Amino acid sequence: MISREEFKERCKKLIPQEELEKIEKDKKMQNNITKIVITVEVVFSLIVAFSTSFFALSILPVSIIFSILIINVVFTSKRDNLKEKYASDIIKILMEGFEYSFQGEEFLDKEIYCESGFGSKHFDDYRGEDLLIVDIPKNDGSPSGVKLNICDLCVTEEDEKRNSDGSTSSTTDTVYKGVLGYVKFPFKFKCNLNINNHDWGMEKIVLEDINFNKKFKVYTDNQLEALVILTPTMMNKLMAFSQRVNGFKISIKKEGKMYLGMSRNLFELVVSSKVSFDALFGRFYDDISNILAIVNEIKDNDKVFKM
Amino acid sequence: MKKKGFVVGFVLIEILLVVIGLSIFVSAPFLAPISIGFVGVAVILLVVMVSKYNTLIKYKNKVKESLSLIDVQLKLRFDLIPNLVRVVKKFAEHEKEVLTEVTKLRNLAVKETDEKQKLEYANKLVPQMKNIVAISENYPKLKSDTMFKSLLEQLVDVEDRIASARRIYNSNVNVYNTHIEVFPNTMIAKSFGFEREELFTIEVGENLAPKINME
Repeated sequence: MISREEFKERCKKLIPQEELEKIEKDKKMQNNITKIVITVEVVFSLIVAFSTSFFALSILPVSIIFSILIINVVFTSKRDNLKEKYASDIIKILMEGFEYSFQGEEFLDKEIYCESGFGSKHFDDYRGEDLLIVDIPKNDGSPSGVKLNICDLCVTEEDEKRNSDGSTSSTTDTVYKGVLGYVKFPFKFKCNLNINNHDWGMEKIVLEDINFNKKFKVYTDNQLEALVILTPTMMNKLMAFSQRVNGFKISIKKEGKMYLGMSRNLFELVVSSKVSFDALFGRFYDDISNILAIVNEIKDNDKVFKM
Repeated sequence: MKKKGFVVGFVLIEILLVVIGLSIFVSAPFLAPISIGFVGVAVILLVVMVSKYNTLIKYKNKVKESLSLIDVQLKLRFDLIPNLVRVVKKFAEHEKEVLTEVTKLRNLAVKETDEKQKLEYANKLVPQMKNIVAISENYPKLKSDTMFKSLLEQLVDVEDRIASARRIYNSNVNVYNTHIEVFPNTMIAKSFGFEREELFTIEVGENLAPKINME
């Protein structure tokens, strides 16, 4: 894989200079308008508070938050989504040297989501996008037969409630939103293992690293085999990833299947006022490289029982 | 005597709290809430004490379980050795010294009942097993023998699992030792004879041989 710095540089070159400047100008305008609106609100609230009642100050925080949200929505809707324009090219740069396929409209099957156990199996709407399938080679560059399938998912459930006046109202609850990754290894594991996922009746185990135990809840049906997978190197890679990503979870099944989940989307390249281009591309690079590192760690772990 | 002092003191406090509570209730029924409070505190203290005791028992049992995990894997190692020695003898009869030493240590370890001594013999086996692997480098026919490769693969697997069992044991011992050393568990631990467990030094034949792909 190319280096992080090279990736960021090449991605920035993808975007025309005029567009980059327009985005920067937009971000500055958004920041300035936000500051002006907040200042006006504070001054107005103080004037009202001193002239009538101090109660006016109690609604100030709510009005500030509301204003920031509206300004964000207005500016974000104006701004082009970089992903739509440049996703394929950005992934092409990142996946240089790999065999891969990327389909923006495709996503993993419902079955894979249900097998992972990352969210409820009861849902009404199952959508996703940005399916990336990467062939992970062996260290010598030859095919290993291991493919990482990863996409963004949004799974929701409609909930109908009966109100006190007899009418019904429905709400949409998000069952799962974020990344789903799936790998089928050409060998089997000797245990089932869940990290930060449901226990499924398995025993919770404690590892020798206190910091790891604080970050991860590990459940398995065979403690000995679980530690063959969770080597100190693997634990370090998981720790490194969890420090950047919340809601990270893994599920490993005896059939040789591994599922990865993250509670944010992988392919969101929407420019916000707070995130610089450097940070945006860097985050995307780090997410993919961390996930590949974890998959490689298992693929290359010859201590795992192979059948 | 000192160790039991905490238990005696605790029982006395419990009795005192209950007696005070009941006395208040009997002498002044309108002060029932206060008497219930005293009895309640006594009950809560008892529940906490029992719960902490049970937790210490749970962690002590986890340590014992993880030690037996190591035992199981060590037994697998001991069981593999006679077959390994037999196969090596077929091809490398002249390497008597190593084979005799391995057999002797293995037999001593199997017969030994003292855990510490057993572990010592098991640890001494590791360099000898490495010697056997080194021997096979000088005997191409031995190295390519299917039975030998299979036994070596099984041995490598067992060593990997001894390493895992050692990690499990160490983490359980650390958790247990921490629990008996923090307040107020330390008082309960001393009263009921919970003692600090030592980490065993368990030698493992890590990277004994490259993983042989039987495919």
